[in-house]
Amino acid sequence: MAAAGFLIVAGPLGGLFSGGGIRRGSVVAVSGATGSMSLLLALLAGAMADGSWAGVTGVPGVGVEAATQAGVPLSRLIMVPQPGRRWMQVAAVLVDAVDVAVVCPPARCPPGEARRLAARARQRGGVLVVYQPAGGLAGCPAGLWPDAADVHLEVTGPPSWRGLGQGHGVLGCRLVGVRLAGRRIGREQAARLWLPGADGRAVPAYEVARRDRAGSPPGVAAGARAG
Amino acid sequence: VRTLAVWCPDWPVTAMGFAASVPVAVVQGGQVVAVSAAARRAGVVRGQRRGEAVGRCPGLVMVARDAAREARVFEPVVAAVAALVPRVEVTRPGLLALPVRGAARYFGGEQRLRDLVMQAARAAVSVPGAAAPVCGVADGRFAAALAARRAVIVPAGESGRFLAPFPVTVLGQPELAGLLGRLGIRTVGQFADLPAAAVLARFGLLAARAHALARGLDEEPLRTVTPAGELAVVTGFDPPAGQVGQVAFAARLLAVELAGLLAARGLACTQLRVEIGASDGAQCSRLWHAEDGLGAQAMAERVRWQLDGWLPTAPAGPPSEGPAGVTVLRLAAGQTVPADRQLALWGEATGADVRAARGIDRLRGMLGADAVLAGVVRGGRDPATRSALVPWGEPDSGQSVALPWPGRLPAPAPALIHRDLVPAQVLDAAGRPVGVTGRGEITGEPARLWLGGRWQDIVGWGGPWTADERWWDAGTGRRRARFQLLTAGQAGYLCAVEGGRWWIEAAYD
Repeated sequence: MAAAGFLIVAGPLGGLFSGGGIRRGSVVAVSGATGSMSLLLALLAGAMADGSWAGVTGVPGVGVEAATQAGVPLSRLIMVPQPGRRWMQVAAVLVDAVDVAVVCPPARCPPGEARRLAARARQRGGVLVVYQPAGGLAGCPAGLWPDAADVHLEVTGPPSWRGLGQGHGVLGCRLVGVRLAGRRIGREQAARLWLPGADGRAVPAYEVARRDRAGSPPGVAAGARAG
Repeated sequence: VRTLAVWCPDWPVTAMGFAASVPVAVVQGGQVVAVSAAARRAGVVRGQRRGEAVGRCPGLVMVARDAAREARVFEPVVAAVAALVPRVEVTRPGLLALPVRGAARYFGGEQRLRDLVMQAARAAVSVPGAAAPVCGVADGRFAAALAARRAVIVPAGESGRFLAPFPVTVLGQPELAGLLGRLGIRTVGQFADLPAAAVLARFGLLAARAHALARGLDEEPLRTVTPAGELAVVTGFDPPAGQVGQVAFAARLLAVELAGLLAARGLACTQLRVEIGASDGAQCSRLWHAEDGLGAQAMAERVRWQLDGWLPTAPAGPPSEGPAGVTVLRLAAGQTVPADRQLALWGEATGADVRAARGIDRLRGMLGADAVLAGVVRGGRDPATRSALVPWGEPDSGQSVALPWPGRLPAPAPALIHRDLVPAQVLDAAGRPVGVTGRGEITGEPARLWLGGRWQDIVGWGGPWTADERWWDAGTGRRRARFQLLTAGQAGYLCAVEGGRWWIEAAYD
């Protein structure tokens, strides 16, 4: 299981990580003012591509349809949206059971507990993802996780949507910057991504940009306006 | 589901051609696996060693077990019952089940149906003096099989009471039965009295299923729904295959292929339909059922049984054309369940799958089965309906996503769903509230959005997409229009306006 010591991340996010994936046993913080959920889904899709399981607890609003479009296999995604007061125990079970355990602390997490959870992930060879959307309507402000994460994956601004005009079109795809930094990352990595791309998957920005120059804006198919 | 079961007592004995009055023991691997009534009276029981059995009954006739022959001789019984009622399902040679509804109405009651089926089955057993087949009716296959042993009709809803006095060993899980025995729980009724959540937490998923059976609950009623896109594999033979071995070999390959298809979808097959077609136009279609799921090997074995039973009886063609051969073989998964229920019995589950299944078990024990969820994409228009969450492992009963849903938006779907709608306000440039007329036209261009206590400028908007949802139902019917809004901060929202009020349904986070 921990043979390579890395959880391989397929797709465009994998290129950010040295070694093509996340070092097993590390704590990854996913954040961003907007787009953090899309980033989380893209990360899960990449990490689950080779048959790994994932679990998400404390995140009630996951867009299941968006997750499938992003490439997340729902048959291997365990969701406990309302863990209640026992979220720590739920997180511990998830860390035991799956390769990628996503937690979103509902309240400030005592430092000792956080360290224990991180140690458990290290021992099991899993990856603990702390989801910290900043502000937004989801209501899980950053800073509830007391410890420094090994890796920070963050949506950096400014996002820009394509496809929607004044009274016409639909939201088609969004250009964002993604930044990867952390203790075990040698150099800070950054990339421009379509997150989501026109079909819901994350796409490196240059691919679409080529088509973009050629003509129509990406992701806005003819007749996209449904109904 | 009301189910009628036909049980042929001591079938391995009957299949070898012995009457019940002859003391016979069928032996496999040095152990007695079946005995005739006469041998039972003399004290021979299943599980005895050969020597011990002979010691009990000196005149005992011992025969080796022949599974192929058991299946072959059972085929006329299946055919006779299938001639009366369609959808006959073979659990194993000697035991079959069929859904009662419909058939009972047609024949004039469960009692009458049972008598007819029993008559047909008895007539089909060709061995003189053999133990006669018996029938029983109850809720679900499990209770029906036991009702058949007692030859009774258990009234609807009474299965739990009927099952209570049986020993826990009838649940078919020897490990669990041993464990319960040590805890002083010996009957099905005592087991059924335990709280379901505690059984799940302490003994795990398989035991929880046994517990549901013990309480007389039907095995998942949803299972009778045939999946819309049936999973099937088919192969043809040209020239027609005349030998059983040749077809059986192809069947093994097909079974592996079907098992692969099922595994890729995370499903286990509990009911298999095997269809065999011959060059002379004859066809044989049978349903095979196994509560614990059929693996590739088990599927191939069922095909072999069916071939053995059917081929010799297929009418041979005129000598000039040679004997009729098999031209087509088709395997289809009739009923499926999520495979995680079968993990304990599946050899091919990966380590990660087993670890995850254990975790799911533990979480369910901690929080209850309703708190551990799986995502399902369903048909519908509003985002919360499309992005559904269902208890893990339960088959989804929602509307198909494959249906056309006019008024739904193209990809990408919103990443964040607000299951509790967030109220908002939308004004046009002149500061007037924006609404939608009865004809689906917007009253002004959205310019500002009030959300979460502050105003934001709207830089892009799309819509209205109108939908009369459930207009035929005055209670739940509603008329709403949807908009996409994009704020100056490049935050995208999916909003709904209904009766002049705005809500945020989802965010393109």
